[in-house]
Amino acid sequence: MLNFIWCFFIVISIIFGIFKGTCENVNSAIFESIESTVSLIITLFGSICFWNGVMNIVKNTSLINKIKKALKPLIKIIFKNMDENDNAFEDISMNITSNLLGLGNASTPCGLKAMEKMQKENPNKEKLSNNMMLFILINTASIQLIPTTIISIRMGLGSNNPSGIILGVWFASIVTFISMLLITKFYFKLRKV
Amino acid sequence: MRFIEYFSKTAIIFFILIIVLYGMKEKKNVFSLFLQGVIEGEKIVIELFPTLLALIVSVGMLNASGVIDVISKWIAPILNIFNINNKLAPLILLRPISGSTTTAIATNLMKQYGVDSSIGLISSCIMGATETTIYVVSIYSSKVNIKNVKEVIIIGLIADFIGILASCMAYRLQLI
Repeated sequence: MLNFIWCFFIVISIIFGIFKGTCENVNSAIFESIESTVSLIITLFGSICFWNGVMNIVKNTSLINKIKKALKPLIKIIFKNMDENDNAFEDISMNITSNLLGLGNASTPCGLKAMEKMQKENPNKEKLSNNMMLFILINTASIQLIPTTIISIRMGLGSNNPSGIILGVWFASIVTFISMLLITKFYFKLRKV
Repeated sequence: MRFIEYFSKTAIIFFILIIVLYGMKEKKNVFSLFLQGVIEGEKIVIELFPTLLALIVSVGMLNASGVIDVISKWIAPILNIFNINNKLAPLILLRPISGSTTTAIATNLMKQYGVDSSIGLISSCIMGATETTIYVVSIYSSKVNIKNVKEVIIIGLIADFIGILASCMAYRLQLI
């Protein structure tokens, strides 16, 4: 996918540049972009490392169990016929918890495990079960307590209040999450009929 | 609106305070845990650099050539219906497909129009509140060899669009 996007971007911008007479701009954009990547990566370097450090503390204290426990009732409401005894339950709650903490590296492996376990109980192996669909969609809804990457980009660009977006992000995430759940449940009802 | 500003400026430090106090209470070596995480973080950033360099350069070229302006104009009528600024068009179009590409686009938008301008704030909010839906669906469904994922992608994209509308609304409600 990225292979296509990258080649497409470069070819189209050069061709467009030739026709529109913006070749010089395209040329200088290459060098400006290289420089801005380096300054962006330096900002990200500090803050990704810092947050990974902070979240590693969470991961190694019982705080993570507290979060998992708090999520339990929510998971039971969202997924039908699912309780703590279910094989996939632990992986699902770990996946959602790491997503919440922004630990991308930890959430994907748990998520993949959860998918395999749910597939075992799936009667039709060619089709995603309802719970599998819900699980994937939760992962596409991006629920993160602190949107660290975007905050650090804003910091790097000299924002007056880099973290000022937190409440807005929470608001938008919750709205997205709830509407996603409603749409999915509605779809399940349609599928049954 | 005072409260919102206070909250967004203090939420993070309270978050960190709770974590550190918790670690102390459980007699963990908080410092070495932190360092462990940092070392892991270094790897993440180093792995991120090549993709970011490639995509920021290509997005920069695209922007300089004027293609982005043309595309934005095409989609403007649709975005206008929903009261979305058409400068956000490239971000909206590529958000479900590639995270690093949209990071590059969002960074570009913030630089061009100002980090704290309406476009800067809304694009930050979109980046925080939505995910690379198509990418996520494909890794999870390919793990269990299921190819029929049309419904999931459609629902995911609808949810993304709602997220974008909610981000615009967050700006109007002065939450950001």
